[in-house]
Amino acid sequence: MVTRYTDEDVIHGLQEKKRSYINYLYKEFFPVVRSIVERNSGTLQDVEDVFQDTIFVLYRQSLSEKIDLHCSLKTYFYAISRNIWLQRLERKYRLLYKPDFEVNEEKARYGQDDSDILEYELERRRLFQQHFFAMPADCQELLRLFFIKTPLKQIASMMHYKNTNYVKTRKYLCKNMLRKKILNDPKCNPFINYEQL
Amino acid sequence: MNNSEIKNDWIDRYNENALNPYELKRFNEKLNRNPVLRAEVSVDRCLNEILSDQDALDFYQKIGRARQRQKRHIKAPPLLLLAASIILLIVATGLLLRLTKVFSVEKKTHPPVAGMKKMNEGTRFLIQPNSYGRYNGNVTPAGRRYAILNPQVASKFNSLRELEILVGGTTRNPAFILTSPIVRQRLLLGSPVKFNWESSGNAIPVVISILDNQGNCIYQSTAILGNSFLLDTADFMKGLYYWRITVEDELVLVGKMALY
Repeated sequence: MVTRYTDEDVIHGLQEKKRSYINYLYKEFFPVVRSIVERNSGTLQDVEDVFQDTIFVLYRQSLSEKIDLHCSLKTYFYAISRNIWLQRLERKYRLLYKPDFEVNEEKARYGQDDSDILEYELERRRLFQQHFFAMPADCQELLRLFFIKTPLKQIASMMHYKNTNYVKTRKYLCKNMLRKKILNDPKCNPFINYEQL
Repeated sequence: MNNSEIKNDWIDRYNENALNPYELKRFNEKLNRNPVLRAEVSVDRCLNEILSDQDALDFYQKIGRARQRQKRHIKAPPLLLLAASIILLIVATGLLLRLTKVFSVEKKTHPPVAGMKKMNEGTRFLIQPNSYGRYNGNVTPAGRRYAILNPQVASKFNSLRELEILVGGTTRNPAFILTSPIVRQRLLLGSPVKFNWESSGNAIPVVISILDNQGNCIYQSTAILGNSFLLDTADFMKGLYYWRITVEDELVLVGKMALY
């Protein structure tokens, strides 16, 4: 038995990051994204990535109350995922055919107003986060605690480290490991800046 | 200050604005020369930004879990699971029914020692299932079927060891050659059994006896001087029978027939 939610319910559920609503979105909206991406030369992996990015965009918009639904949520979801995928296609196409691109094509925008959807950032965030989630659990925990500005003493006691110096060392080691993983991942390469800072 | 210190400590401190002026100067010099270091610094900046956004991290973690769950669902859709469950249920029910039947036969006919051949009065073998519920040993396939379906008739198909070893032996009288029936035969109850034989030289008196599976003679023909004899099995009961051919009081051939 599949529970059906109204669009408002889904948006509120998403704001609260409720698992049942995320599952519902997967069940109901995944085929929509699949149809867009697979029709436009995407793979199943692309579908999953675009779907994740779309949910994230929807979540962020729901938090900032930017969603002004004049259509069904499904249509809205469709529009966001389509924008993301077409922007991604365009970016990858540009990367592949850079010399000819500027001559033959003009930078296009697809569908609705997508000025606040930065596909590039979405992909970078997702890829970097994937590496973060692939790290050992203690590293994840340590970095999370560090970035919510937990005092080092408290981190040491929570993580059962002997002193704050060891917390710092571990944090450097974990961060270094994460950086190396990202630098060695070819998928992350387009997001790495080798130019002057 | 070696290179590894720069990588482990200074990059973080550079992005946290925690380098002292001397360290900052040295680090900037290195940054200008080294594109890989620049890349690391830029990645570190992004990471700081991403890791500071704990809310997004939590949300992505939840999405990741939902994704895993959906993948599992895609791998085994509910309908497929349902079909598999039904098939499993049917197979299990079939096995259960079969086992119930086998064990009920075992209970009715052979209470004491299941799985072993049991000798009765030194001569008779009962059809007994072994520990796996199977009927092995000197029991015909039909006998096994009957043992399962009809335990009362089952004992009629037990073979008799003394006669069993004689079945199919070559004739002891070279003047007598049996052409039919074959020495081991399965027949429907009521079917006629035709005995045909050839004898060299003068006609010899042939006696055909029918014995039940306990060795009791239930029928004996008079001395036949011809070359054939027709046995009517209409009055017989279902079970295993042995026929014995004697010529001038000498046992010539033994065969058996199972009547169903």
